[in-house]
Amino acid sequence: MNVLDANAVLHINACYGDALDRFDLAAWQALFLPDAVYRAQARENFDSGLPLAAIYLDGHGMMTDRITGIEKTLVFAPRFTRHIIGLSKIDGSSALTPFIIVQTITTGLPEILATGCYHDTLANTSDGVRIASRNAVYDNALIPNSLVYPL
Amino acid sequence: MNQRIEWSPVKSPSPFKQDGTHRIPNRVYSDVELHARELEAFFYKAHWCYVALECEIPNQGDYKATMIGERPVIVVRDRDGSVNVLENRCAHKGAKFCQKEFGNAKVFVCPYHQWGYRLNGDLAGVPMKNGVAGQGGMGADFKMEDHGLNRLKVRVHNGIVFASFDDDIEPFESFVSAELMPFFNRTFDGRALTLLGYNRQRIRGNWKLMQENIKDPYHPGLLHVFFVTFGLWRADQKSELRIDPRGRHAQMISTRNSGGENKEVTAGVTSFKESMILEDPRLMDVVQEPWWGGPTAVMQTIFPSVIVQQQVNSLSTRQIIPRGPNEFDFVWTHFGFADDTPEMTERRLKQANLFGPAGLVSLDDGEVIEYCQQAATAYPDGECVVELGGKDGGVASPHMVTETLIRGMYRYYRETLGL
Repeated sequence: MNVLDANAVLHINACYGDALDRFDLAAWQALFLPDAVYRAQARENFDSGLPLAAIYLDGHGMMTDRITGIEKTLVFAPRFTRHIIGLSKIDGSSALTPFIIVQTITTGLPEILATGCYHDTLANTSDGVRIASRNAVYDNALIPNSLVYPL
Repeated sequence: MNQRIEWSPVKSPSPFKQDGTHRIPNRVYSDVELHARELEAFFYKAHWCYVALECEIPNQGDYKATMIGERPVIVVRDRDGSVNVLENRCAHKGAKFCQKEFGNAKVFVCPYHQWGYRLNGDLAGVPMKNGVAGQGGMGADFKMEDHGLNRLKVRVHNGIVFASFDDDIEPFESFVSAELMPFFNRTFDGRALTLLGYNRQRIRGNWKLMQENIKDPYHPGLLHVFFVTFGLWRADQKSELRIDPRGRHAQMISTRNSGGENKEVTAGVTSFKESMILEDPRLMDVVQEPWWGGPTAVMQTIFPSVIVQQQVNSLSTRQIIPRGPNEFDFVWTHFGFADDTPEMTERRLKQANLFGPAGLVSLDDGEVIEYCQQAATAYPDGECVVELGGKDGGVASPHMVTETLIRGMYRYYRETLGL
């Protein structure tokens, strides 16, 4: 039986937002099972059953490549992000969790980068709850220019 | 001091300081009056503008709301299977009556006073037209046929849909040009397309900067480190640039090489990182497709409204929707072919990681376009130097070490706007 503890789910989401907002992408990756799938997908695609995602990473290897891409190859203006992650609706091993992500680029004003809902499959492991799959389905089809870090 | 500010219909003088287009005045990226003239001359007259792929509206009554320039339009599949493009503007009070991006309708009804329109735009119903209990109503001279939705000229070409507000527009093939039709038809050869989905981004830069970006083979090997290292685009690969005679559209055609270091190309390029290898090669699991016939990438700019992308197995249209001179929306529609295997679809979806607002390659472009806009707006009297490969006004080229396609676009720009 894979019964999820609500506190453990709160904890992993707190760690998730914290890792991304500190740009500690290795810590972000470590919250996923090795063969986990991560997507950041516009809601218009999700709702219509269209498969395209803005970010689609199938396993730790691709997550590593995304991290290398961000840290070593991509050109983007410096920014902060802030994940505000809401309470999860848990059903068996699945969870739906709302989020708002605000970004601040250099010395500009903060703006909302995305609002949406994480569609998760979570698993209990000896290290605690880990993400088996996460689709960050964002409501705003329109992204303010660029989506550098995972949602 | 009593100073009257008067509106003047006199057009401001050309911002170009010399002949030719090897120097581009910054003013073209921020001037409000020039922007209005661009919309009129490029988006609303004499140009076929991209609106949809047919596979987005497969069934009778399926519609898509989109934009041509800054004007909202609807693309709809009529009952006879044809595609109509209508102004999304009620003929009564001018409301943008269709607020959904996608849907299916038997008729369009404006919610304000419930004027109803057929899928071809004909006015079908006007409530209280004949009055109520003998009072009011439209006059005897009101004719239903005079008050339909404005219907645009439409060209469906092998699954891709273009439209124009201009009834006198030239045929689509001559618009694209004989030079460019072969590679245009290489992607759109009549095979059924399948829709994979959308990415949308708002870029705070002038819309022309995106056209320039895809007419600029100088930057990919320098800005896009991801491209460079994995051999997707390098200055030493076999390549060709095509341009239509008027200079407005172009194609950058190239064939991938095996990557690794070539001293001439990588020396002095600080962005080159030789040691980078993919942890998971499935991210770029390129499989040659028979229809390519050689080139692994063909990037097409169809002026002013769209870019057609084939980068190895990733295919998309990228629609440019201006929003004033200082920003535009960029809408990516990814597609495949109806006979794709599930493996090929998966490959296209994984390679899509390189494109869109989060793209390991394209993200750089949106960022540097904003950098350009920030300084171009602040220094309107400055100018850009576009002299790589000479000062010609846009010619075909057997190599990529040139900015000739950008010069071609501005030759057309100056001629068309009379600057």
